[in-house]
Amino acid sequence: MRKSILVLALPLLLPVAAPAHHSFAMFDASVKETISGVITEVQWTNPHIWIHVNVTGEDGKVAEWAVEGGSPNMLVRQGYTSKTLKPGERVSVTLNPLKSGEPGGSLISIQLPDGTTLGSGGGAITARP
Amino acid sequence: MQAGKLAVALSAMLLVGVVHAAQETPPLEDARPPRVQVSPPYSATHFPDWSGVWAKVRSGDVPVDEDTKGVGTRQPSPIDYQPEYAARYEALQEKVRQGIPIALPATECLPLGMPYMLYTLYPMQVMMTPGMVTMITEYGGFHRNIHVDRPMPEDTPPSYAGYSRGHWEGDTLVVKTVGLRGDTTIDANGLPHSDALTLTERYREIRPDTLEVSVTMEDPKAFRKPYTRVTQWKFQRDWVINEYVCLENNRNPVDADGNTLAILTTNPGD
Repeated sequence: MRKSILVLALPLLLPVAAPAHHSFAMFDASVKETISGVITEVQWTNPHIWIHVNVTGEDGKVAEWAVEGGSPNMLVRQGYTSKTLKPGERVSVTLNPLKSGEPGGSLISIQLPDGTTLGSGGGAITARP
Repeated sequence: MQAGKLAVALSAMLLVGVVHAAQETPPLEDARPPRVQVSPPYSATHFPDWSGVWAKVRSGDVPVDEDTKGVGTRQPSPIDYQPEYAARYEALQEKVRQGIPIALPATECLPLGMPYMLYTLYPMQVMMTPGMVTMITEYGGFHRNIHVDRPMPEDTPPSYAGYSRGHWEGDTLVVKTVGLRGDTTIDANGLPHSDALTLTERYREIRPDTLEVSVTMEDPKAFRKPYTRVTQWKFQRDWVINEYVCLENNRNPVDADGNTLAILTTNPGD
């Protein structure tokens, strides 16, 4: 259920990845994947934030995913604060996965426990026209 | 009657809010005085109030935020290159088409330099002072000075920002920039240039709070003809630029082959 809501909400988000300081070609932009799990670590740092999420598979095994987001500077202009993402909280993260198959990805959007969905930190979308 | 009570209640709440707000530090937006209106023609000592933070926005068919999908995503070159530089850009684009995570100097946390700093999505703080216009890009906190009606330094060795001298033509700030390094790129697409690149920049407030930024790039070593890019910036009264230290936690290093990596573990020894 949660997944279908997220899919419906996605077209409303701007299709932008993190502003470039580097190429994102190590991620597969043609694949959108949603993972659900518990945040283990948040690195609220430049040039990009990193969110580590423990995802429990159907076999009960836990894999730690590393998700690269935008710069804190851009994220605060999209509604984040440095305290928005909290270790211990359960989140759904939509991402472009690494081409290598390792558990990592480029953040597209994240759904917080209260249902709020936030973007990747790309684009000056909150600029006054 | 019901509506009347509601109005009274709302007014009371509003009043409490106003009194409360008056006791607190006012929000940043309200604390800033409105921009001062200054009439042209301008000079080194009589200049418009462009001080503050500007956001880069799309303009016509030239998106300034063309770097939103990462380095090297724009395919065709808008520049008429000399063969050597056309081949260099084509080789880069071939890697992009193959899905190789290319690296630019900026990937290794070097400054964007000019003119790339005008085109990155990170906002620009402008400071107008007598005889000097200073631009600070949020990206890397990198700054450049434009000397207005003052001489260029005698020695202008290659640098990231180059050396800029400006003068006013009516309502337009015209800037000549020389002394640029040859190893930076024009934007996030990796468009190359040589150390012969010079810029003629024109800044004009085409309507309130909208700055038109027109840059003509001449590079006889790399270009067959000059190239002009026109973009727009929007004044953001309630924005500040924040700290950005690229080396703070860069988990996207560049390997020996020049490809960008993503480091998944916080402790590589794990």
